[in-house]
Amino acid sequence: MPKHIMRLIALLVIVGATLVAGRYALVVHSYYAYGAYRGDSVTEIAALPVQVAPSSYYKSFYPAVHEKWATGIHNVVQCTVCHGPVTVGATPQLVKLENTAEICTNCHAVTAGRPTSQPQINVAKHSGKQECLNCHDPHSPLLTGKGKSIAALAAAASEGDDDFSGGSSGGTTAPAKEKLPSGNAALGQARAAVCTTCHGVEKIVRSVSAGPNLAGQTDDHVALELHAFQAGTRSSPVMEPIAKGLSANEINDLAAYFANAANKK
Amino acid sequence: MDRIDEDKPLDRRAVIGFLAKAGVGAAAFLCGGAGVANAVLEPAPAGSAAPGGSGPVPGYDWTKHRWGFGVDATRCIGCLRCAVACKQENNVAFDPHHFRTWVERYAYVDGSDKPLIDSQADPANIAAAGRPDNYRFDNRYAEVKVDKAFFVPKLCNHCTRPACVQVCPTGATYKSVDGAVLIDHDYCIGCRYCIQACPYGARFFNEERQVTDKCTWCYHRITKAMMPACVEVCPASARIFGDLNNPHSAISEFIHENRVEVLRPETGNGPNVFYVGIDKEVN
Amino acid sequence: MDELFQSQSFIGYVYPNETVMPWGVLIVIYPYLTGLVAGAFTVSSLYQVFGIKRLRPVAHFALLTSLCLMIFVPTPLLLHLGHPERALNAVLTPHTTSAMAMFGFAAGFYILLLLVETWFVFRPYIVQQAQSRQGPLGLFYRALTLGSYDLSEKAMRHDRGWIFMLAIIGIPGAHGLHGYVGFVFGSLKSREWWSSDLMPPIFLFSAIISGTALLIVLYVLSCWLRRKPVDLSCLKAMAYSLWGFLMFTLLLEGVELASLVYRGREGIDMIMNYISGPAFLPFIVLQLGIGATVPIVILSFVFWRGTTGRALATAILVSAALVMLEVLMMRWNVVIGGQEISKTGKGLLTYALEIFSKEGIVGASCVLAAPFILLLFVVRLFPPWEDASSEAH
Repeated sequence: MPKHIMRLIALLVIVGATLVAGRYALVVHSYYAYGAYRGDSVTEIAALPVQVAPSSYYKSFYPAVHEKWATGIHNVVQCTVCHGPVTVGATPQLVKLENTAEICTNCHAVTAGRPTSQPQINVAKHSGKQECLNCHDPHSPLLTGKGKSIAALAAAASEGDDDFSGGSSGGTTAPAKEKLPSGNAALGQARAAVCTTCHGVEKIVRSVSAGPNLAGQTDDHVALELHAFQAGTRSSPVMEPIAKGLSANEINDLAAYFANAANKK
Repeated sequence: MDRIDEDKPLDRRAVIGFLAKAGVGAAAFLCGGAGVANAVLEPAPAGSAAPGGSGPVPGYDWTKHRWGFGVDATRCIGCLRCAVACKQENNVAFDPHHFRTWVERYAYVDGSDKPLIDSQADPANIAAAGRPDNYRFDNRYAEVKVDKAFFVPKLCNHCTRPACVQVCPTGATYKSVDGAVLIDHDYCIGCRYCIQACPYGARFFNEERQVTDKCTWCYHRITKAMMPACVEVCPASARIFGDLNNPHSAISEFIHENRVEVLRPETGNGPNVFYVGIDKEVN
Repeated sequence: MDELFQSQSFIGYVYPNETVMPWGVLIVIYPYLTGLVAGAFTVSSLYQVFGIKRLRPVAHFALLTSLCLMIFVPTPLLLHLGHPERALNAVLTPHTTSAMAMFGFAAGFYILLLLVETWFVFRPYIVQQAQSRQGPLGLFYRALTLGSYDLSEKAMRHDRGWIFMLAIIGIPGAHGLHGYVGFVFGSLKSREWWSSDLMPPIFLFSAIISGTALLIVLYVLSCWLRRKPVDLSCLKAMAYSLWGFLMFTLLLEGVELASLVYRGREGIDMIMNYISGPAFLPFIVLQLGIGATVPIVILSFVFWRGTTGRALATAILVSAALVMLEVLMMRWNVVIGGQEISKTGKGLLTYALEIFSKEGIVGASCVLAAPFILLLFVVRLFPPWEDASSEAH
């Protein structure tokens, strides 16, 4: 074989050997440790800092407020949702009061697409430019003990003020009552078995048909809504027939039961 | 391919190993003439390097977990706290073009059989939020008759046979043993082939770091026994996360108690985000 | 730099992340360059392997064109990468399931093959220059001889054997390289516009026509620059080849479009909207109409009439230029078109071509022009013309 071809082959072999040697020298540490990727990258990704702190993190800073939140109906809304993210180790920032209208309406403004079980308000009619804090405590936002009573709200509703609605289900109006009589929680518990399938007590059942969690809800509110279903002023193919089968006393018993049931989420 | 065992990690590695061998064979054929590049290739160790012990994360055994994600679209209230928390948690730019998770709204109005679809990235919704660091759905259908409307949260499906991992030229994106599809930001060359390969639009290009980015199921949280940020903040319990290996985990119960479906099953990717309450037009 | 990215406008519903398009005009240039490489190599092989003697005047020039283009094929890719400095990762730790990882090897192997074949083809000239030239250029040629001035009949017989073998290996090499580029797109199931088994052959045949057309244009241009007469017999042989492969290409593109429409899978409504709307000019008019049908008609007409002389050369030149446009538009319609149709199947995006940015038209034009500037120098170092080498002897 001519000399130039021998030299060409030698040159190609040298180039090839250099590439192979270079390749072995350059492959990064841990690349094939677990598969065709850099094993160390898993360690690095897992070590990234946690930004959105869990609600338990806020407990040591604000124990009393945390307690109220944890036992209230808003205990499904984690602290960071309203208070912003907190890197573990930093002090949680407090939301300024003038922001509450914006924060609350993220979830509670009437918006097409929201399930009917989500309480939604038409902000302009419901409160105008008022701060939500005027009537509601965001850590446990039911109206009892603050602002207008739910009965007063119901009275206003019956006069055609449909500002408080459950999505597309129409306005919530109920027979106006000055004060609903208190029911018997024990009797209510016996009847509540059928309710808890969807509305939970021990835990929220995760299924398509699940409704709002009722444990810890005020008795006024439960009774008010049941009356609304009964009267047909709040529509629901599931709840209307159920409510129509209840007497006024049974409604009060159920309301008392749910009001006294511990909210465990 | 044995479909019954498709979720077993070992089986998956066997498949990859087979593909690896096929790939090397094809490369050897291509390089046969010169015989130079041939030796440079080395098959992935496939099943041989089965991770012993607890894996690469200290204090966490990745062989003991197989993560799964559930979305109950009937519960989603479209509050978008998930999208905000995700961007905060993962340092994603607060603009309408980069999302590790997003929420879509489907609305059938005025008797139409085609839905109107928008997400929080829609200009009108960006305007409704009013702030660069918040997202909000506007109430655009207030004046029309809405026959049916609902929200659908979206995120990376962490597929069993991820198309994005298949096409990555460097192994910068991969499927971890516990089921998360991750991206090595220090190894990615930024070719964006994986963005093209994902049928779900779950990947985006992080211009700041010049690499591809996407949801990791908050791998840095779940390996510390925390929930992903979006699940943590969801006030409607529309997002469910947990260990499929544990029959009593939230995700296992969610799958057992409901008739779940996945997005675009025809791609064969085998998504691991399970949906309840979506609709024919959702994909 | 105020904006790190450019977002695109859209209609209908697109995934939020889709509004920033991952691939821009540089990825249009990349398959175009690769295609020109494969096409130019085909012309050289038609002479070297299949013995079509009429192509002799352009055979060596075709090889040099192929080499210069191939050297610049990785450029658009490297410019496009977010981290070009990590590009070696794809070669050091190739992900064996990735079509793109194999590119480094296929391209590296093919550049090597082209270099060696070119070396053999030009060895007599290199040896002759090494013996006669002084100064740095003489040193350059002497290094290239690898220290052997052997031009004996035995040595030349060996060389011819190697050239033949390399040309034979080069055919599957060049065509495999380009068929693979089609696979990069055709194998993705995420986009209906791309997902087709016909993508590799379409890319392959359009590559062959683009390379042939390029050689026609460059050959006529070089004759004009060197003030030499155009070899009409050679030109017509290239035109025949162009006509035949163009027919194939048009047929495949037609079949692909027909099966896409006929299958009518999810998202077809939006694809039809796209074809009849924003894609009508680039796809129907420029790619299939002016770029493919018109040259077929022109060439058929001149072949039928037996046109000769200046009219024939002009007709072939015009057809070749149109075919180069058709292939560029085909690359555009695949790369950009695929991204303009949303993965949701429910929306369309509009790609806005930038001017000066990294993915802008100016940069892309520079990348496209670079191989030809290199070619201008390379033909000085290694004259591929029959007349020049006979003068040298």
